[in-house]
Amino acid sequence: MSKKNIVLKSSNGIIFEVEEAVALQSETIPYMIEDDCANDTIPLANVTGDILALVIEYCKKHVVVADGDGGGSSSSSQEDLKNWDAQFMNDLDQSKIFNLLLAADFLNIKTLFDLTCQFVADTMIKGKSVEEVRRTLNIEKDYTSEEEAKARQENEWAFK
Amino acid sequence: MDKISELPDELILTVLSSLPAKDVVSTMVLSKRWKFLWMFVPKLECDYNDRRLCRFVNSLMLLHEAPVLECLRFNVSQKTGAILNIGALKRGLREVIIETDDSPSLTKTLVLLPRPCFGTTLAALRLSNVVLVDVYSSPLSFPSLKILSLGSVIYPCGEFVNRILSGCPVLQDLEVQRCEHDNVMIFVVRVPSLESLWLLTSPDKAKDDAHGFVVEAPSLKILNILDYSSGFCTIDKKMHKIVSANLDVDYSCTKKLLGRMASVQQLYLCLSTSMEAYHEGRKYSQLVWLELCTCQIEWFNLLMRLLKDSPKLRFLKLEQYHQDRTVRVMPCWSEPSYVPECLTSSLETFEWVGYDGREEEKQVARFILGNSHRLKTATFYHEATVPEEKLIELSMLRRSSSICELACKESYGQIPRYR
Repeated sequence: MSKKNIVLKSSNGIIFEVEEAVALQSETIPYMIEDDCANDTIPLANVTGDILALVIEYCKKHVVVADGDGGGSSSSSQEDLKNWDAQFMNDLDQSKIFNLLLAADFLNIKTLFDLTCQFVADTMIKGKSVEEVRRTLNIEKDYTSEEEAKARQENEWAFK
Repeated sequence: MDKISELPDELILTVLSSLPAKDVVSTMVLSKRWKFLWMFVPKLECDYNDRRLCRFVNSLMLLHEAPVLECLRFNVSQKTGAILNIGALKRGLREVIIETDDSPSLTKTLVLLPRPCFGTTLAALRLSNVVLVDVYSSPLSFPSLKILSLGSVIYPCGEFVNRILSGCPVLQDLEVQRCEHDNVMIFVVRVPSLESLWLLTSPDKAKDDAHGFVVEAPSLKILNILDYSSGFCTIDKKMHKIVSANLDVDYSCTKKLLGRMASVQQLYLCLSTSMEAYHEGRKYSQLVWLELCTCQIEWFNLLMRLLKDSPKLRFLKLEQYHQDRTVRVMPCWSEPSYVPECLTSSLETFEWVGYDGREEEKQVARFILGNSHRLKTATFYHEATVPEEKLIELSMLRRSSSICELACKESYGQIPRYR
């Protein structure tokens, strides 16, 4: 007997069929199942197909194996999972990362949300100078040089 | 606009929450979008290794605007030292953590506790390797504090401890780790609201039987004591709500400790005393789970006493947790003159970790297997070096429970009991 599947539809109309346990890592989806008829497709108006594919890839990797074939929760598999997470994030470009962060927030998948926030903080901001952060994140400096110098001077305590 | 600046404020704040405070505040000059965002970050971690920490923190507190600051953390380098005045911190603060590198006796980080008017929101305070300074000599007050952790703290005097704790009317969790030269002889915990208590003494603290703990916590549910300083712990009132106790101590007298916990359901013990462990006639009528460490010579006497006084015991585990303690000692076996009630009527699970098949051990196993009518499983974990015939001997022992399954497994190694 096959397990129950759930059908998700991205904002650009791409259909994904996934096992219930995979989809239920999102705390938003159960509410959508309750609201709609259970057999219907669940439309996700805020998530595009390429991002939804990433979310599903993540959820499939992180689904808790309930059959318990043994060794499922050993520390080595935790370690593997961490390495997999790091590789997963490293392979994404910045635009995908921020869309993934938004999707994880909308779908309320806590571990994925934390992972993306931490990744952004650690790789794009932490320990970097203001100029480096601007360059990394493509933030346009809309201060004039005088304004910036003034702000830095006024808050000299923050900049050593 | 770039991708990150387009995110809603709350998501940017979440990203910033995991960064050191220094990185957070410098985002203020990234662009106009970022000018005020940093002020609303709900968690700040100040990881500072120079003398500017104080100025940084003061400016930060002055400008920070978040209505609730969930967590403020200071990691201070020992070499630098700092004076942190918690009283200067702003409203809406939920948790403060102050830690320095370990070696409490050398610490230069001084912490000033707040005046009574301060900090009505503070729910958790965790201090580690710091020196508390008494500057106000007025009563201390933490009206919302539920969690307090005092790890290797040096106090002005013993009386100061009383002043802190009597200012915490709703405290539920208290963790104390005492260090050498903490200026306290007897650490008194008198907190009516307390539910969980950890008392630890640093292993490097000199042995001294004048130092100890006095506890009066009638609401206590969980008690953990780890103390090899040869001191004492006295419990002043009965603890009717105690559920779980974990006592790993080398006190010469434990009567005023064990005697106060008649309602305990789970007990882990490693004591150097046995017949003197508690007063004759005491019953543990709720005790269902017992783990006993076998590193002390008296353990077998203690086991027999506890079996006799715990009529509802369902789970029993024997293990030498302290592998470092010299030779394994085994008291001489003498056949008990009675069979404890729990063996005949309630014991279901028996585990022995580190069974090595010596004659005395075999006799203990024989006694338990031969008298436990309701035993379901008996599991013996042994080293690979234990000869096969010892294990066969074990499996041939008579079991008075017809449904009892016996298993011998190679030891799964030491499980650390404390974090």
